[in-house]
Amino acid sequence: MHAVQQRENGNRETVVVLRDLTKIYRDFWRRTRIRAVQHLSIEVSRGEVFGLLGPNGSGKTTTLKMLVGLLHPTSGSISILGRSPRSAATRHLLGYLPEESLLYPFLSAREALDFYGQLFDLPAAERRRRVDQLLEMTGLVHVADRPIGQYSRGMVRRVGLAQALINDPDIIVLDEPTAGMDPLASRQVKDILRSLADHGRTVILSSHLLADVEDICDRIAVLYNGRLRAVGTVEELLVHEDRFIVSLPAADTDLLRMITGEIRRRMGSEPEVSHPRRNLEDFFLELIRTAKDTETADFSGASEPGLVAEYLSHGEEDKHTLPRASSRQGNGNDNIADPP
Amino acid sequence: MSTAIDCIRALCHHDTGTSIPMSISAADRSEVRAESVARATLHVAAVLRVTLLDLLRRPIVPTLMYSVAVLIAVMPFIPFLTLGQENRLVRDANLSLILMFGIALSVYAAGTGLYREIHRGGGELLLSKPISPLAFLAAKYAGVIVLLALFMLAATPAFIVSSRASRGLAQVDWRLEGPLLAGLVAAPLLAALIALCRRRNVSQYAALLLPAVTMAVLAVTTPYGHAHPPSGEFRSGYLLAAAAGVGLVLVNIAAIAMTLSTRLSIPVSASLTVLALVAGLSAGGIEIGGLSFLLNALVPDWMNFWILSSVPPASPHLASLFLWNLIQSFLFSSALFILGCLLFWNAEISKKST
Repeated sequence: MHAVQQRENGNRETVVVLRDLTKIYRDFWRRTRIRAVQHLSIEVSRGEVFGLLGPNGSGKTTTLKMLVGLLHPTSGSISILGRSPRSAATRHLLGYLPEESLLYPFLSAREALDFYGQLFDLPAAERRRRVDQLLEMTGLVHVADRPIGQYSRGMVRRVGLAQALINDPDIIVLDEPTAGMDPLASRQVKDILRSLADHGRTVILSSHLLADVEDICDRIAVLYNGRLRAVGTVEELLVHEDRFIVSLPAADTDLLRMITGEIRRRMGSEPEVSHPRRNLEDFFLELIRTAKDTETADFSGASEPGLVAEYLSHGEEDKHTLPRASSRQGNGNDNIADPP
Repeated sequence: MSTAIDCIRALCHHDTGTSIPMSISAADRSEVRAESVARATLHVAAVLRVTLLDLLRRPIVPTLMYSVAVLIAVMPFIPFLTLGQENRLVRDANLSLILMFGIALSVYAAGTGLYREIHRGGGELLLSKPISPLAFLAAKYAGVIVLLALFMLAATPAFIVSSRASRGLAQVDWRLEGPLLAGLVAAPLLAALIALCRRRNVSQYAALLLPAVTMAVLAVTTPYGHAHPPSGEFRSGYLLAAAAGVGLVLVNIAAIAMTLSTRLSIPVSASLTVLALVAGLSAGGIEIGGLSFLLNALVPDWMNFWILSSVPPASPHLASLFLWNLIQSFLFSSALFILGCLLFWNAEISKKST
């Protein structure tokens, strides 16, 4: 099936379709060991950040591995741009970051990225350019020639993210992308992912960090025990339609007393009055930014969202100039629009 | 057999998305096919290079390679200490050392390069890229074979020089063989110094074995100055054939270990590999006809490879025996590779603990 599945979903093309997906792990004697995923059906549109949320063992990683063709579904089907995930043509369009960054510890970041670039048939000069840009984007330039085995976990995750982007993929599949990162690096990675989605790339990620998912995902699916429990936009799932919050600038007690009295009189219930709170991440990032401004410390990570845009704008040119694999042809890939 | 061929064909074109439409011309078809072969070859080369680098940079690998060269280099002192005629003993001990260390290296490289890679390492990441399973497997086999070739390159000259030197220290041409020993000692020291200055791993001293190996090759190929030239079973060519016999055994052992490692964990595949070695060594000596036949059908008789060092140097059978071993080794390894492809076909790539 070569035709791209064109289903309108908020004026967006559906690029990933999971239909009644089931994965059963069996033991040596073919007896059922674990039902990891059961009858999962999900659709993801182009340019969307889609989050799989769930506790450990809920089937998130298994779903992502089936999505990139590493595991085979027991039943059901997966379609990525109308193709099987196991075809090499599909893999040209995918970027994948596993749960554990399974990189060769004795290679340097530069060597590793160059190696993964070779697997996408990128010419040497193009690989060098992309590797340099990705190293800069992920803030690893100063350690690019050190063996990955000497990196901290957060740095390894950043190399992992860079390798997932080496082919400028249309669909980026990330398993716990911010695991092991400090809040600053985590924020930077989330900014990169958001920026990628804004440039028409589809990001599918799993996490059990609720704040991360809420922060960047357009839509989320909640899995538990291998089954889909809820799916929708963050707004749809989290907003209490029957409640309102009214935020006021500093008000005197008389005014507050009058407002609450009126509410009590009209509705017959006691309104909650409290001071709004920042979340801990915002507070932490503000502290670090202040310290950075005053102490001019080395700043690691993607310092400017512009770097992502620069990398992707080259990528857009490449799609027309590079001898990309035949997979690029006829997959409906050329109609990626830059955001306004 | 047809199932095996179908499987290989499926692996080659395994969902590569490069199936050629029937509507295009024959010339275009062959061009597309050539391009796809070239791309697969580049993939194999890239994975092979990384496999080799990854293995060479693990401290255990150069340590094994270096240890065998050092042990062989000190072997000539055995007859000096025992005042006997243990030249043969030294030569056979050297071959045994090469075999033992080579088996350890093969099993380690197979387990690390394949099983760990698939279930604990970068295989998951690698096979999410557009590379065919066949190219992945071929690169892994080739990487381990190239590693063994490097191992033999380091061990063989040391073996030849050591075996010749065992005839008596007075006959050693220190002008030529001295640098080998000096090089073996100097290599790790130099590597440690470089590591200290550049803050890199000492494990990279494998590359520094190269000067020592070069000097050893020089020592072997240059005529003796004042000592008697070696003759008979101490001629370089004869010793080289004996070492090559052991090298062929190692290639087969590595192929067994690799094939088992496509599915089995490191301890299980290592145990079964050693079992295959023992079975092959003892097959000829088992009196029970049926069992002996069965064992010989499953694994080659390793004694045929080892016997190269026992055939008289002037024997006309030496060359034919070596050729037969070479063919047998190639066929056995190829069969194991096909079996590996069958085992790897449709394998799920994931951590064992899900």
